[in-house]
Amino acid sequence: MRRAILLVAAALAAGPAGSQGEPPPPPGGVTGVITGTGFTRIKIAVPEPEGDPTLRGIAAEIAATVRDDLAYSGYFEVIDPALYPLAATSKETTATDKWASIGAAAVASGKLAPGSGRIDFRGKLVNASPATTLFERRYGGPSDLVRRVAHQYADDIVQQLTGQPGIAMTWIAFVGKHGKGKEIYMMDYDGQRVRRITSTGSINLMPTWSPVAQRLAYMSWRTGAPSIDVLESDGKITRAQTAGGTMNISPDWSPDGRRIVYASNASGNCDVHILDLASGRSSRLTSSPAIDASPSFAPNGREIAFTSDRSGSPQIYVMDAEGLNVRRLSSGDDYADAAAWSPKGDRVAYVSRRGGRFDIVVIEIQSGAVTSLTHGEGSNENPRWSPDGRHLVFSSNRAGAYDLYTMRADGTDVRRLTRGGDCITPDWSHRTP
Amino acid sequence: MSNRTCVWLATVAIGAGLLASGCSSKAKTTTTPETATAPVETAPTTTAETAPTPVAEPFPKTQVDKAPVESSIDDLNRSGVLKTVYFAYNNDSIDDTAKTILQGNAAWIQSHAKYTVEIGGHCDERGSIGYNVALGDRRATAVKSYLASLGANAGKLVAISYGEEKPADTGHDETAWAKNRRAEFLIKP
Repeated sequence: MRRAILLVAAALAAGPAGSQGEPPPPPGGVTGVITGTGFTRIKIAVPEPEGDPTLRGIAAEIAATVRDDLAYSGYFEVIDPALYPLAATSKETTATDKWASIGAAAVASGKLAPGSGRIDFRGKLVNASPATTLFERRYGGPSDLVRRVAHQYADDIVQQLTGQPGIAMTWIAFVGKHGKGKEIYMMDYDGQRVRRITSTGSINLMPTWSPVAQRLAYMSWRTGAPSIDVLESDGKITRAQTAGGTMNISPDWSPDGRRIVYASNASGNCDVHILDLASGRSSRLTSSPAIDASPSFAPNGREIAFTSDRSGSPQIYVMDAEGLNVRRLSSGDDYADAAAWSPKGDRVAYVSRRGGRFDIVVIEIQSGAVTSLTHGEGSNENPRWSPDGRHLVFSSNRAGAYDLYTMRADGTDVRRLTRGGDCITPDWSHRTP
Repeated sequence: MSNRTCVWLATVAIGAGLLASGCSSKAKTTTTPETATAPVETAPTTTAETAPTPVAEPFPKTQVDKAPVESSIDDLNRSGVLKTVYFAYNNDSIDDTAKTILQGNAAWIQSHAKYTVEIGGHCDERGSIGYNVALGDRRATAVKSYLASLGANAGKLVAISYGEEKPADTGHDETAWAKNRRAEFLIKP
């Protein structure tokens, strides 16, 4: 894998790419891990897979999906397909040299074999210069899962060329309005294949994926008072055995998926509690007379961020998972809520209110440095990280009603995922176990 | 046309289609069906002048009013015998106006002790979604405690927070927000 990166880097340095009056690439070449947006992206061509003309539609969808996945990842610059005919007619003799002539450092091609009702796709990733086949792999599935096949191929390309696992196979769960209620929905990470997964006829909010299984915890009003439900992948709903009271809300899973931290008024006041799923025992972690709510488990399992208004206005605090050693994290915010710990545990995203609207900010735990990721484009709420920590999904009413958007972890490349409004409280799945 | 545009258009088309059945666009009903200024105050005030001599009613104090229970509860809720109270921004304290209203509510609740009464705590959209559920609970609980302190049976009062999920007014200005920061009552069998 490391070798693949070096090969691509060499190709980038040698190839004719980036020579149209652009500033020269920074000296020193590509070393170490590729992060952020300030690095040279890998130039890749993704031609439509070859195959029978009757499979043209599928071929086009695979190519388009892979291109979008690769561009979205932030690691790649997908070469404009309009240039591909130039490669074909170039005077170079080998196929890889032809691709290199339009700047491609790598080519992700494929072949579709005819299969009745099923996709039979063979993806082939080659390094253009020097010409090397990096992998050739066969993918299949029912014909209505074309995008899923393409996502899998895209993730393999990302893994091969960057050494990092991709996120194209992940999902986003969220809440959407349905009739008089608000139900749980899910969709692919790119906003496609939206489907509703609950039919309660009541309000449900804040779905959260288990880190270790395809199950969701969320809060539901389906039996009256807001309570925590767990939805299994087969559609079965179970009520979490929370502490009692008339409000049990805002669940988040421990990294091992065995405990759920949540907020409850069981003690007569809203406090953070933790439920051990195996024993069904809950214990209270906070006991201030203020509201303590919106807990988020750190990925190391040892700390919990939460919201408390013990200082007057809601602010983000961090405590040990046993409830001790409480310290304030946010400062300089009028009102802060909805903390979400990054997958690496080095940062916490949350919402900070400014001038009556929310912006999404990120605080670095070590330095305390705060960066705004949104800048007053409507109100932006409920940030949650992609499993690779390179993107965030959030809701925003920047276009009128609330819809879901994603952005890179530095706030750039904002993409709208839903249209139609009333889509809120998203959560990005962990990688498929 | 770039490849990204292609995908994007597809995204829009498919997304819009699916969401049309799923996340329906916001119904812009700006009516406020349950505000406190409903028709309650018009009926009983204009009878003083005629002052008829009391006529003996046949069948005095007949007890027929407990028969159609279900519809009568709906009627009670619709008529607004229990009035909504409102809160200041990001606040759960009960001001004097609210106290006066709640004293009336408490009297009714005590004289109709058979009913369970749900107190729904609500918030305006300016708070965050998560925190607002906790704030709505504070409002509902504060109202419940006050009613109990006036003698209402706390065992028949259920405080439920709805956060900002059930606005009385779907507008986005202070007029709407003021109507949404509320505790409202639902009489149950």
